[in-house]
Amino acid sequence: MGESEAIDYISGMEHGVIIAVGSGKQGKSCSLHSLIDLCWPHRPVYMLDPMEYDISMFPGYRRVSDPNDIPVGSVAVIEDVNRVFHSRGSGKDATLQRWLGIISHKSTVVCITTQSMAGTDIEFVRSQDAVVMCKRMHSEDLAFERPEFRMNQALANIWIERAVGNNPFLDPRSWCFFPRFNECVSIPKVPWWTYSNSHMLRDVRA
Amino acid sequence: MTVNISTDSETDRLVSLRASSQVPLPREIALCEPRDARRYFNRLAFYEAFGLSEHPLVELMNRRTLDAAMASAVSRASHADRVTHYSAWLGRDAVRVVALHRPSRDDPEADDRREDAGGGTQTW
Repeated sequence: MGESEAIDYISGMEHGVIIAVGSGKQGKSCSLHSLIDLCWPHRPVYMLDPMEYDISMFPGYRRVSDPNDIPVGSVAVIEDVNRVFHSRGSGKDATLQRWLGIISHKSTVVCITTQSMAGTDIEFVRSQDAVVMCKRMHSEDLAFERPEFRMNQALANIWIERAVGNNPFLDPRSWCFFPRFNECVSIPKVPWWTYSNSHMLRDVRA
Repeated sequence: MTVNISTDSETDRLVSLRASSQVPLPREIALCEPRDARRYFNRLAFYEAFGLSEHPLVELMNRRTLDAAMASAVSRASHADRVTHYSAWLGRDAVRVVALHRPSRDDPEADDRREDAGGGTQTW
């Protein structure tokens, strides 16, 4: 690859946590799945979700409801992570801590999407090599973001806005900002992404 | 807008080094030091009262005052830290923008976006 430091680093990750954060319908899931396809085209991908729903629109993906069922070397995806691991939940239930503590041994990459770090269990950024991928966040949502992430998110909004303005022929929602690498990257969409992928949780009961 | 910055001393040092070498500072930033600001604005008010604020000599003196304030601000370490923090936040221009896909004539979605100024597909 070589063009983007962030993509190169993520491609070389054996274990770690990728966090896609941004307001609703800003392209978090699409960019995350496109990133997985771009960086690890040959690794098995598992959706971790206790809810039953159809994942046939994700070619090659499998669904598990227990973190222990995820094989070594896989990519685990948790869509809208607050449904599965509640914010501040690791203080009451040690499942997340136990699992994240050993993903480095199991060579697992955990990919999550969330609408705000304020509603996300902080355990995700505490124990392993976490890379945050910011999408656009509305200013009202930004006001309630955790202070540790607010400045990076404000910068993300500015740089994504600027990149969209300078590249009018690229999809505005393909832009992602990686604060750790100080990089704003447009990730090409996977060819199989459709309307049903972006509304996969439509039939799930909250 | 509220900006909260959490750093430690080592980050402070790195940020200061980086910002001071990369970001040109406006001279007026020196006026965030209260003593300099008071002196500067007192002088401004004095000449304004006599209708001389536009006089070239007065403007020259103001510029010199600002230069002196800037020099003394940079020489005071704690204040230099504040200056560089502020400029680091404002002038983080080292962000790389990488488009991994290029628009092409064969890309039907890009064509749609060219026609529709709203841009974007509805599949995200």
